[in-house]
Amino acid sequence: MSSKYSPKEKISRKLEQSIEEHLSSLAVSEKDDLSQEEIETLGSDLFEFAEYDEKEAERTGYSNYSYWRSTVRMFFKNKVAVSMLAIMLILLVFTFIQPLLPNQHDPNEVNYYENALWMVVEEDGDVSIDGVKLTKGDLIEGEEGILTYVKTPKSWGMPLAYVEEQGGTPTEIALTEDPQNAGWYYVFVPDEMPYLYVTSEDGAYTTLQPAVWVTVDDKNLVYTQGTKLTSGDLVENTEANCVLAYVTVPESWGVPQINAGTISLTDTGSPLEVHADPNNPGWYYVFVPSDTPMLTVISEDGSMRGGNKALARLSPTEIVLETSFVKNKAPNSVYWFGTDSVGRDLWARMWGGTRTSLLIGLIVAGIEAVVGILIGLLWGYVRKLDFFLTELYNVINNIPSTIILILASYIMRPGVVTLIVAMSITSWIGLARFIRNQVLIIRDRDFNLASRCLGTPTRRVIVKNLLPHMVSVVMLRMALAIPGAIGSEVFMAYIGLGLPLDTPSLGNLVERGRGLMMAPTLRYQLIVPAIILSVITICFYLVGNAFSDAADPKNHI
Amino acid sequence: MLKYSLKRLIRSLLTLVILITVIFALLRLMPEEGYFSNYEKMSPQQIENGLRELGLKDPLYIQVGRFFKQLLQGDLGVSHRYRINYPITQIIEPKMAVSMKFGLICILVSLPLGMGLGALMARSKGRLADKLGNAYIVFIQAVPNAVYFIAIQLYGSSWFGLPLLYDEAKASSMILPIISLALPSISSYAMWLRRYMVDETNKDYIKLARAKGVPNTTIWFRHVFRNSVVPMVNLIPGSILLTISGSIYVESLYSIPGMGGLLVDVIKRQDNTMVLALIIIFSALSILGLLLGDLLMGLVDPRISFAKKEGAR
Repeated sequence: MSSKYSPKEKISRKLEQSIEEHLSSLAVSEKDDLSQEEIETLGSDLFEFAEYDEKEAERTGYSNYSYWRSTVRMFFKNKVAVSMLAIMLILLVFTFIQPLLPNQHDPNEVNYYENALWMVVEEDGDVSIDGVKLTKGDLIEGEEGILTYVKTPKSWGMPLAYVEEQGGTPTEIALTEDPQNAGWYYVFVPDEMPYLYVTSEDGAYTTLQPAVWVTVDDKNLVYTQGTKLTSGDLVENTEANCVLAYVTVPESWGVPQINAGTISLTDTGSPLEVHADPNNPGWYYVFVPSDTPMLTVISEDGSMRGGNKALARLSPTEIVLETSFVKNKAPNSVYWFGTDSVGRDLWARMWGGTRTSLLIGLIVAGIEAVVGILIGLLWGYVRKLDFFLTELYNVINNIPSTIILILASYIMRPGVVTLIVAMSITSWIGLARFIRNQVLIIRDRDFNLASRCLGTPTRRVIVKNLLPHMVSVVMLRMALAIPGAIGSEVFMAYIGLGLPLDTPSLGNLVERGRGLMMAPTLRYQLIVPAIILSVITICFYLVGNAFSDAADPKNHI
Repeated sequence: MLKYSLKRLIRSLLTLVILITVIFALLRLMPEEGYFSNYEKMSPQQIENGLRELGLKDPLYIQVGRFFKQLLQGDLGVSHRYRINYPITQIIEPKMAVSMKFGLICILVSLPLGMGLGALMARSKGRLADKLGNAYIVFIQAVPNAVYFIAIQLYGSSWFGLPLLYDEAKASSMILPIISLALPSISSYAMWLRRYMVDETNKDYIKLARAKGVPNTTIWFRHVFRNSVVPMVNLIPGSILLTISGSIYVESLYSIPGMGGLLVDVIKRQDNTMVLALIIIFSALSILGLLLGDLLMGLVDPRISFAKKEGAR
């Protein structure tokens, strides 16, 4: 290498040198500092004390950084958390506006069947009859007999209704259109002729099925129904004075053997010829003579026998008023989630329960945050409290929180307040401990020292300098406290120390549902609240985690 | 070390004494019927006499003193409602064994599985295995255990034909309770190990080892794994001791005759002396577990010293 500097550098060095020389020559000729005597002669009116100026003291350069905006931006980067937040908000809003919606039942109201029946006929003649009110407005009043509302498909035209006594001949009865409900007709069925069937205007369709359906279930119980259970057209009834009966048995039985006899217990009856139904696998049909209508169903090898006799009599649907409460009703158009074992609407109880549980969760989390932060700040700032609170922390931290929860609820009366007190009696100390540690760490950092030197009041130091460092953890703990409190409520309901039974809560619903879980048809009473419970807790957990990540200043770039 | 242990032991004992006194005093607030088996049929005079006989009319400090004296002799008193006038220690002993059997099997199952899962998740951080593992941990942590315990009982018994309730003669009836017990502990072991391992991989000495060209497997097993297991050691004595107290949920769901189910039973029957005894046992076990965990930590990890630092700073 020829030279140490490039030509360009050489020129710039020359320039610098000349400037330096010029400056030092100036410095010699013109004084740039004052001697002690000269300082003393200066008037004091040239100076003034700098007042504390909040704006200037806290000014952090010209950055447009804002803590909260940055947090929100970080949070919205997490797609899963945002969608969970949306679900959570929808759930929260819906929970609290649900009672204001029209047509809602009271969560504690026991629903009874109405003093009337509703008959809904499907296109192919299938019927469902129920005492659950399906029409709007008040019931029609007036005549004697059982008020029955009928709804038939449009293609049926103006339906015709027939009533008869048991085994009697059918009589036509007039259907009246319900003025309040389009498509509905009503009729008063005389008490002495409680069998009703409906046909279409041209007589092509009817709810009167010329057959009966006999089901033998896993528990060997036998049910006879007049509702069509097989698909396709019915087999033509060729035998005189016989009733067509369809029979199905559990698979393990093989081809059943069917005897027809009289009602007498000793009459074992005579075997009938059993045909397999080609259209419906698993179904068999027999022609039962009208004078021996009692069927006994026996399995192929004779080892199993239906638990009771089935009556094969051609009878239209009997009309019976249901008088009890709407017990264990499967979900339908009136009770969207069905009813429980004492006739309360599960849809309303669901949301009522969610409301109670969320309320407990929010209050517990709120108490934990407020008390925890206050005590934590005091603990960090007031040295005299340190010993006492540290010892208290050591004691409380050693005891499992479940034990405290159980003990507190065992001693107090069950109720919402008891649960809230039991859950928040010690939960704040964990948060307080964390805050105290943070205070001790951050209190003496340089930026706080600077703030103190600039005369920032302690309150402002706490709010502006300390709390942002804790938002992340406080949010996380609050978000976890809510599902935690809901879970504790479920646990307390399970061990029998929960809320009273008439207070709907997710814990009570799950616990009631658990009692019924062995009956597959009633399992919905467990599954529905369990799913809602899981959705709520998972949403809170994920949103809380995502928010605490976003709120951590370390993650802000 | 010895000085620290002694100090720690005394502190734990003190905590226990305070705790027992508080619980004892609180439970005296309970209705009197929890001391008699046939309270409904007794006249006020009989109740008065009964209470006096039990020493419940004495001033509180005398009662507490008497209770501690009994406790030192290993006597927890007698049950009044669960099994009338039967010593509580004799009720508890066989139940402890049952709970411990379940708890120990659960630890044997969940410790290796949880550690394996945690290590796997840490090694594949950010990839599919980590995400799946995280989903599992979130589910277990967020959803109240009632929900999945009941689901396991319901579908385990109906789909796989496993027994619905515990039966001592049938080993297969232990499968569902063990699964229920293991699921949450696997998730917590996995979560902690993953966290410690991820922290450890970010440390400078690992970067140095990598720069020196130490093979990846060596780094993971010799350095990261060994150093991350140390904090886990803290949890182990506690979890072994707490097997004695059993799981309240699982035991009463499957009617396992253990300690956890017993607590639910005696609460439902309002047997005050039994509730007191059980709560004292449970808290004592947890205090002891924490103590042993801390001491074990000190033994295992030479970097931790309990003596006060002397010298420069």
